Amino acid sequence: MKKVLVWAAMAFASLSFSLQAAEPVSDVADLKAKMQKAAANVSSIQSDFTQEKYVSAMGNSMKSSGKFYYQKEDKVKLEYLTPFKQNLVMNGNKLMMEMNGKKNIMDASANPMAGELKKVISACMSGDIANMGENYQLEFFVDGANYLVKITPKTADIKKFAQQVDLYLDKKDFSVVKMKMIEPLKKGQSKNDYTEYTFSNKKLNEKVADSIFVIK
Amino acid sequence: MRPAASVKIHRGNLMPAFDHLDSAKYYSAQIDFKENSMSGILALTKESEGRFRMVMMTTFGVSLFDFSISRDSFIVNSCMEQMNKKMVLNILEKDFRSLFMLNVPETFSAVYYANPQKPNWIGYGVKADDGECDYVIYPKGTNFVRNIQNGCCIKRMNAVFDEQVVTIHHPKLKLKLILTELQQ
Repeated sequence: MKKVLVWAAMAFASLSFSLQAAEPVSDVADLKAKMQKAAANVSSIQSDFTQEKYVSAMGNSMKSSGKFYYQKEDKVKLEYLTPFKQNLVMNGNKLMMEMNGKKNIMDASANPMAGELKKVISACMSGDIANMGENYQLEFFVDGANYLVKITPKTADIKKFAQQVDLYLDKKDFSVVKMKMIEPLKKGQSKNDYTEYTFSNKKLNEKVADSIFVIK
Repeated sequence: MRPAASVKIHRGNLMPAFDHLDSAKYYSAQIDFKENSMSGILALTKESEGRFRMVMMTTFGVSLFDFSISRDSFIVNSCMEQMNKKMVLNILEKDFRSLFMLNVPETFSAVYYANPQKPNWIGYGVKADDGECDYVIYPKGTNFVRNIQNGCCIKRMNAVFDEQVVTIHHPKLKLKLILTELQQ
């Protein structure tokens, strides 16, 4: 069961999207340097988020929303407030999912997949993607007010869950505006399922209480 | 519980909790297995008459499984590797067949039960395709199936429908699935 959770969460971490009318970034090295510099200047992020899960078979989307917290280097929390309360917390080597008062805690240090998951979620949601590692191919585009980083998993294990992930970054401060994960096409379907996160009301570098990230 | 009579029932005269899916319904889903638990969202929809689709995903949106089921088929559209085991799939298929009443023909014979301790309660014992199955209806006079029991020993399953919560329990396997309907 724990393995299932790890794999499911791992898939959540691999994100993507399709881009229209976007141009490839001409100087990728320069953009990467700017992104790295911006990420270095961010110690914490708090924002609202909405999540839209589109299931092709259902013909509609399911929406949820909540609060997002990030504290450098390795603390992330997604606090879902609607349609019901639940939490995803990453802190150090631990990862916790909580729903209906039930907690499931994984040790990322004892599980390479959980470790990879933690790394990728932290990287994508904080916008600090410079150190994602060689398991992902990154392509950079520019479109209006945003940069788009198209992330394609290279390994078969991750591809089972995510065909592609798109990360939209605000041109002004390189913070994450939107993240979309497209799942592989299922049997008998013509459209891919996807999950899209949109972040708003961002507050950078404000103190986030340690208690937000407590796992026990 | 004591048998009262043998009766012929038309499937349409009973109302399985999941049959009236005019549009997709979403449930928060919690699975407890021994000491472990996981949670997610279960989406159900009717693809066509007598054919249903069920997709379970994590809260974060990743599909865990996606099945289509009808009286004569069970199609695995996708299933994460760790759950894609014959035993797991058999349990899920049998459970969903019972829940959607896809384990009986259009018209079937049943033993009608009454329970003096529960005057508001009636039950139908059915020889389903996949074994003995009891469908319990209450309040009396309605056709809403509120409790399903089937199998025996390790295969025993007990499903209880209580307002917006459905609890499916396999006591011998220490496996419990709790579904709470989400209002969109």
